[in-house]
Amino acid sequence: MKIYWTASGEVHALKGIDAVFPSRSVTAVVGPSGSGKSSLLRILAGLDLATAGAVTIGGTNVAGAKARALRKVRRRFTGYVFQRPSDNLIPYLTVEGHMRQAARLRRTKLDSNSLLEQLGLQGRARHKPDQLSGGEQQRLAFAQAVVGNPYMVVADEPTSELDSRSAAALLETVSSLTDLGVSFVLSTHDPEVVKMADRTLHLRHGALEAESHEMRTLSVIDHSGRIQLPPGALELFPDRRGVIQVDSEGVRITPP
Amino acid sequence: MTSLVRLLRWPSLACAVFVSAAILVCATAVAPLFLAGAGSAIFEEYAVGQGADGAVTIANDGTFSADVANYRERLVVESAPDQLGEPRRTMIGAESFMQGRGGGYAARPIFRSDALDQVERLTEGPGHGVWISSFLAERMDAGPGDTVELGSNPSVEIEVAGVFRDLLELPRSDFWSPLDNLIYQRPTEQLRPPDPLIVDRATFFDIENSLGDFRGESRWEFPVDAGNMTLSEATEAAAATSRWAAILRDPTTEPGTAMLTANFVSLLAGWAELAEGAVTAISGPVDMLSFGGQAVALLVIAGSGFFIVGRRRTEYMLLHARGISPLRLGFGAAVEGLLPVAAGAALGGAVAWLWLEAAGPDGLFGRAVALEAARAGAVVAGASLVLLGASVALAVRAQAHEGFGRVGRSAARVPWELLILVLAAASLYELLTRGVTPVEGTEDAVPRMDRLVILFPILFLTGAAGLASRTLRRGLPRLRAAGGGWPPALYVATRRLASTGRSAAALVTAATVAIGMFAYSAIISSSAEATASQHSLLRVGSRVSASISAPPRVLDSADFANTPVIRYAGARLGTDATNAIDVIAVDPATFDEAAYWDSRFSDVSLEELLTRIDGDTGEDVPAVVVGSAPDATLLQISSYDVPIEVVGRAETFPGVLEGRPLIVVAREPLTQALAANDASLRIGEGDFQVWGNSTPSEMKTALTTAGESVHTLLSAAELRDTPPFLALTWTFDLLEALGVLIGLVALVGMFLYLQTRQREQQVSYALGARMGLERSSHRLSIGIEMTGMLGASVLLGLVLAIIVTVPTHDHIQVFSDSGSVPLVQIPTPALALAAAVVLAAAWVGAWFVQREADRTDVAQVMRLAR
Repeated sequence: MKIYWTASGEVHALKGIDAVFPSRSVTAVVGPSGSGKSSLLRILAGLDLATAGAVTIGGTNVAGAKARALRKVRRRFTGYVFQRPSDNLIPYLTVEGHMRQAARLRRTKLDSNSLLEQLGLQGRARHKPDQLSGGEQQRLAFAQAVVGNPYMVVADEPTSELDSRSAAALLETVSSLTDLGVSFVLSTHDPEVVKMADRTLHLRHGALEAESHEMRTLSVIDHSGRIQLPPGALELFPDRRGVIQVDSEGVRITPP
Repeated sequence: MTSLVRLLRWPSLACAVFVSAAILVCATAVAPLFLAGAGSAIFEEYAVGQGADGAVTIANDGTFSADVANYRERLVVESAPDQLGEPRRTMIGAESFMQGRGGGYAARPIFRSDALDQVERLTEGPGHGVWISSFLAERMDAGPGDTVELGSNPSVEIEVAGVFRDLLELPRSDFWSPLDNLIYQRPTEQLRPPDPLIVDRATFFDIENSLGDFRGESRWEFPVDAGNMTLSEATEAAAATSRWAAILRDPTTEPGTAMLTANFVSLLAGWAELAEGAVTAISGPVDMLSFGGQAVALLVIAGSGFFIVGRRRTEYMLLHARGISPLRLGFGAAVEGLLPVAAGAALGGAVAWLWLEAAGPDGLFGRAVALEAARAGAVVAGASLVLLGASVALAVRAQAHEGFGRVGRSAARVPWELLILVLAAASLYELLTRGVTPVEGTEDAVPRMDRLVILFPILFLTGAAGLASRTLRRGLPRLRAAGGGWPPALYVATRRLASTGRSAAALVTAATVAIGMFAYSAIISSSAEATASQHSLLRVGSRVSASISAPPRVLDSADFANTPVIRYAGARLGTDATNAIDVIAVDPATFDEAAYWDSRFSDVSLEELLTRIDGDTGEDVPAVVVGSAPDATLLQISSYDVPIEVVGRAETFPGVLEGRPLIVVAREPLTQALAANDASLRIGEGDFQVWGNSTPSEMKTALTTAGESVHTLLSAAELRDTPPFLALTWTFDLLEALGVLIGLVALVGMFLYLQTRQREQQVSYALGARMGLERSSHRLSIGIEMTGMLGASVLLGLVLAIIVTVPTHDHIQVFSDSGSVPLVQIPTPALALAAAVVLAAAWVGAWFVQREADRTDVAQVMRLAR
């Protein structure tokens, strides 16, 4: 759960999300603006704290962690990719410089050449960000994020500022990087991202409405038994009242 | 290594840190160097003014035979401290009579080192003997080669070796002044002191032996090299001299045995004490000035940290997202700042040194003080790095919304401007309740200036500027709703201003404080100069005052206004002997043209006062009472009673001396009143003076043309070079210099603001240009924006500076007893120039921003900009 306190009152950004993000997988998080996608990602990345609930990353509960502990999580266990490609890169560092810095921060050794080759950035090692295309910049951003094999890499709408070809190349890169054992969580409005993801979480009004996996979309029932109906189904219940019939085969909800 | 040069990639940020560090170290180092230099310079002024050549004088009655004299001299010279120079030796023979063709005249033989180099030689013969004055030569009809007889039973015949100009015909010289009582002081006007017969050492002993009269005096005058001594060295020399004096008074020592009855006079300790007093008197405000400069520079450095994070936001947010702590990022920033801070510190130290060399007190610092200043500069430079790192860390936390915890949130809610204003009010209350004259001034000591005179303006300006900018922040967003039909440049400028908020407020605050401090320092310096100028003119009476030997008259041949004045010191008002008073007798016909006057000195005009004292009041002499003296009907001048009638009063009057009341009368009525008592104007210690609106050389020429012999010349300009004035003049010069440095902060702040805003608005400019916004309109909009903010800062700074001057200018009235009126002088040209420079810099900045914007690659901006 995540609540923000503002001058005009409380904002319930997340109202109880129960989810598991397996390793070596790509999870897409979709939902309209204001559904809580960014808040969820920031909590997963260790950039923010949940107001309530547990957040376990690599077996460590970081829910009530102090700032110092959260920084450790960000250094060791997670990576974050900003939406805008340029926000992920330091203007005066070369491609190789970025990789070295990432390795130094994660305290790990790095075979930057093979990683750059895997990402299609071979030959650009000495180039600075302003010499790269948008897609190349974002691929470099992901490359930095996976250095040191973190448990999770979180990306906020990584393809929103890319053209379709660059976006496709990026998704291919992300998919190949799952071999490193990393779990990718990508918030997106892009159907191509949803298509390549192993799972999709559908958020609405701060709650997890549904989860899609292997062509099936499952509505999520929270721990208190609440379930979100799809927007189209709401039209059947103009009074927001329904009759629930439970039998051995399932639950049936009908207008009164 | 790369970290050390990384900040140089952003020249504007490196420059801001560099300039701030330079201001910080300059403000830090200048204080100890200034005080040390002032101390040694003031010591030198006292020493030179009062005779450094005779800093220590030992005088012994009796002249002795050559052997004894040589023995005693050896003991004296060998026991003298090393800090004293080679002494000037003098032997003064007993008074005797010289017989010659014209009769007998009083004379005494004198041997004095280098004496013949200090007289005007008129004629010289090849022989060896005595040099006589032109007075004696004329009356005795004697010249080189003639023989004269000195003494009577016994007597001695000596050959005249040469004739020198009578010393009484020439102005007093520093060389002969130590023998003032023997050479210059007349028992009466008709009688002269015994004429000096200048001889060499061997001839002196021959004369004494022949006359058998050893009743003269032996004297040694030890000089001190005041121009090459620091104050601490002078203090050390004074202590060594005191120890030496104890030895000379100790009968158990050989020198003490020989010199037991000698008179030992050392001026060193007094000079050193006065100089130390001067340093103490100005150390308060100097420390405050240094503190003010340091505070402003540290604020700019702290602000630079926030600007660094703003300028490199992408980098810092990225590293923060990767788990790097704000403290570590701050440490990194401190490392990056090392080179600019080091370079700035070196520049700041050099600027402090050079300024003091060029415009500061012309004194020595000493190696120890220089090292101390360097150490202090290094410490504050290190502190600035820590501050820079801390501000970067705070800025990262703020940008990353990590917050500052409960303490931080509470601190952010505290209205710091109000706290500072409360402190300002407290300091003002303290300043006002200490009385109008917290400054103590005497004739010789340096007046002490209250440090609150500097602290109160700093606090008030900072608090008021902060409040003003907070008000501005609230009002700026309303600009968004305004100006729908305005020209593009004005519209864009108002929208930019409306969106700036915090950064605009910071710039306005910093610029207002900087400009306010600069303006205050300029006003106070100018006012103090004007007050000091007034004081010196009042003391002297006019631009120049000359003392002559005869009752003065108007110099008709002079082409400048002049007036004769006779001053009687130590007169008595009434029959009460404690009512000591000075009296000046003036010439009403010429006084008002030549004397210095300000209409604030009296409710009555000078012309009216002169008319009243020139009026007929019967037997009573009409008098104007100046200062606090009571009304009275009787004046006593040198035991002669002069009935007076008080016809007017004045708060102050030309010729008034500090702390001494004055009576002003016209010369003619006083002459008549004295004549009734069978006395003349030459009674007592009357000082005959001519005052003139001229330079000293013009006055001397006019007096010489008129056949008058000049005793002393004093100009108002010279009076301002005496130590009490100099110390204050230097302090106010320092105030002005630091004011300029602090004023530079306004430009630094503007520069940082422009850099930040330019980067922030590259995208909007690029899009605006594509939509038809012309370059000239964009440049004009930036100019309007900067002129608006800096113009507001200039106006607010000047107004606040004038406001803060009102309660404080009285407290730099350092000559409280002189009657001079505290003047407030606003240096309008200097302030106008400063305002013009600041506003011109705004337009220059706009030009540079436009040039940067023109070079921008729109595609790159769209791809890379935040």
